[in-house]
Amino acid sequence: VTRPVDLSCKAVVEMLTDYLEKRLPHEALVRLEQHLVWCVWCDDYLEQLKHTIAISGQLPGQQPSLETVEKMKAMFASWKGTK
Amino acid sequence: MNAPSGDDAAIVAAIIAGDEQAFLGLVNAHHASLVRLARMWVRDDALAEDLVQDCWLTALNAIRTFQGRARLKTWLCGILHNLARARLRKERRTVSFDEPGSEPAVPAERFRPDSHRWPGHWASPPPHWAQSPEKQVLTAELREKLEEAIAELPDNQRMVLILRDVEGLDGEEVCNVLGVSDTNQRVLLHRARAKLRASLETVYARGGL
Repeated sequence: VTRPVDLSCKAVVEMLTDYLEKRLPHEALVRLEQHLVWCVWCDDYLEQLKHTIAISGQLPGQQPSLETVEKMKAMFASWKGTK
Repeated sequence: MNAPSGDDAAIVAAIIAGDEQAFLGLVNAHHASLVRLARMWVRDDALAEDLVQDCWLTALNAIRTFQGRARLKTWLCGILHNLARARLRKERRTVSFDEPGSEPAVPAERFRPDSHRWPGHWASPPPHWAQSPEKQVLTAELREKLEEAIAELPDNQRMVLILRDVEGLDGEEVCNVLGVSDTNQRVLLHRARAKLRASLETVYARGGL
């Protein structure tokens, strides 16, 4: 196995957002993917980044309180009255 | 010109027709997101609720101008951010997206120095995470870690990260809502994601899940 040493891990981690956003120019994309084939650490890092993104999307929000819902009903009624 | 698409168009039409349930449904679907976004600008729950209520009133008054060029969610986020920015201007506070900074996403000391045989290669590689890709469950511990890490991000990184990864807007939508350039949006997102990953490293790497 030959190592494409032209791209360091340090450079690779800085390219990963553009990679996930599909914004890398073709040549950079090829070099990056070659690197990921042999560098298990960078590949791990990428998987961890994807995992982080996936679980960030699961953060729950706070549902509106009953008080808020009542305020919203009043707001809607008054908006309806003036339109 | 695009007409509002599918569900969004139906909801807007129902609200214009005076359907309270349609409005309350919209509130239910987006109130939590808007409160989360409002909390990025004002550091107090009561002020955030105020801001979100302002946002709903502004949205109702402008509902006829909704043309469906953006999703309803993105449109609401845009209204909220404009209101928040106006409020901050009065308090002479601003959040800048123009200088995303230049520090690396991963600290330089985790890589081999230039003098090494393999410069720039991992000196302290990311520890393997004991998790399977299909098991992306947000446990209470992870949730606490993530929320803590998000709270510690600089304002501009936090806003981009929350809109993108927590609320699920795409890059173009975030640029429109925040008025940030596409390049800076990606740089800010990159830094923010790297910090969240690093904060989770301590949970996953000790195999605590």
